[in-house]
Amino acid sequence: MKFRGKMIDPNCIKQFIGILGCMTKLGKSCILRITTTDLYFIVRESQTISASPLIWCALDEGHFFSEFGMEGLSTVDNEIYLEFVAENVARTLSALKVSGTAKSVKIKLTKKLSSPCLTFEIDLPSGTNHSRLVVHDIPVNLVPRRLWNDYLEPEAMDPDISVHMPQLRLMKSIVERMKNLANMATIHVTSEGLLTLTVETEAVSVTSHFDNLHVEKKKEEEASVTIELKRLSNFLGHEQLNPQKVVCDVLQSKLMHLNFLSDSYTLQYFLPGINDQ
Amino acid sequence: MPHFSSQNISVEQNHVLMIRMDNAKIISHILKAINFKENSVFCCTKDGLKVTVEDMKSVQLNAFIEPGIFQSYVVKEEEIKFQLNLTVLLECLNVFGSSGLQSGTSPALKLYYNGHGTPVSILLEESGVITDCKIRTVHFDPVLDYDFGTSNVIGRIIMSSECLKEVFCELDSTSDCVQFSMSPDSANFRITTFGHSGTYHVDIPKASDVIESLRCTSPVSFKYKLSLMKPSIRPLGIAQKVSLRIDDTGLICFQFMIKVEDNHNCYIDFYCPADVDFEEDE
Repeated sequence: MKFRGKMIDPNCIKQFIGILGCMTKLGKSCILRITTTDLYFIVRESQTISASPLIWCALDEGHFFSEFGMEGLSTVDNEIYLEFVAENVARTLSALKVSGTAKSVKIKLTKKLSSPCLTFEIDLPSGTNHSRLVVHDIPVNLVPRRLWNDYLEPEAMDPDISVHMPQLRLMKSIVERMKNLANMATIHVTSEGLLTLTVETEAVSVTSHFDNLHVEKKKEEEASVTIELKRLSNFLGHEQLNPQKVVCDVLQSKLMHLNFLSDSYTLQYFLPGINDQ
Repeated sequence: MPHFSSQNISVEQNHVLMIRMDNAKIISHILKAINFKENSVFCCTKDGLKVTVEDMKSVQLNAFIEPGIFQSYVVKEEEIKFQLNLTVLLECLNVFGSSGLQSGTSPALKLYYNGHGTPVSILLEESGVITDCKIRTVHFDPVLDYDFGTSNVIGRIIMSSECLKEVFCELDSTSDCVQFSMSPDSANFRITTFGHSGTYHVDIPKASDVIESLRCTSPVSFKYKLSLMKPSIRPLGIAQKVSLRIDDTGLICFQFMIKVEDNHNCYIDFYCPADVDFEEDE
């Protein structure tokens, strides 16, 4: 198996770092799936047996990489599945962020000390005209073929209501504060384009109202689901990625699905509904 | 689904207290400085809002916000008192972000209360998003009423809070207490600590620029537990000026003057009794 990709566009590098940062915040381990056209980052709920992912991200390699080459497991299964520990990548990310704009970033599948690694070679500008190369090796596990079906692309959801998410920056602040008051919140959306977020405890109840939202789909008049605030807060932490569109799908009591949509990538979060009633 | 504009009149008539502000940050800026304990007692009269936070029936912080600071302040009874969790209130007031007074968002606020047993309702609006909060109130525990009659005041200083803050931050933390001393004969206001490495005196000359005025009828010197003084640090940090008054029992009152927008001031006062286990210094 082989993989080699090179990024030279500073915006692409910055975006890539942002997306990778998302992945490493939630979940201990992350799967990287490489195909001839895309890179996928997948984080699964570790406690559940079901195959539904928690985070699913697909990046168009053509957009990010100026050079890209891969050879999968076999000609029939021309894909690579790697598993890595989020914490290991976090350190690479810090290095990338601190050192300012890299001139180029190469990512390769390598073997170091007879273990497979994902190697980042970061070409940094230095005071003189010479290059400064920083190399990070992230140990990875190759995921065996028989487990590939554990990481299937999530089925398109049939939501009760689907709306465009409102002002993310404000929502992020609100969710941060709500997190200090309670563990769970209820999202309620209506077919008129109203989204409310509510927490309720013995001491206080707080409801935020977002009105005039664009409704994409409406199967029902309204739908609501109770979710863990911590998860929602993790998702909203990525609003600085500045997506073109964020869509929120609600399946009554069962699921809140959030989709960041951009030209070059999509990032999906699945927040399961909590049944506390 | 409440909107500011669609409040109907009959509901309005139930409010015994109603406050409207264009910028909720002002009130959260002041209340944050007194939030050293969770419980707070609100006392609302025609003269304004007084919020009290007390610890163990000894130290007390009071914030005063006069009606002029609000865009609208309506009190329908002579005195309205209730107790609520100040930490929760501050989370609500900062729901759209907690950046400083000068920067970022400036959420509009409407607060109302319908009397004993009902929750305090807060409506905040920022960029078209409305957040409404209902905070449970409980029957208030009586707070100490420190009556600082001016006749008992022996020593009084008005000085720059920045200078005092510098001194406080550098006080020897290994000392159990801090002593304040002044006398008509001495040229200085003296602050003393008694720590592991020795006794430290900080002398601020009466004549210096940082002291606006110092009046003292007889020598005064009292010790205060350093740990009890801690709640005074936050209001000191946001104030422009501070006055210290000590009475004949050693009770000290700091009054902090905090400038908020448009040439308005808010005040916070801090009461701390003297540490009576120690003898008065010579």
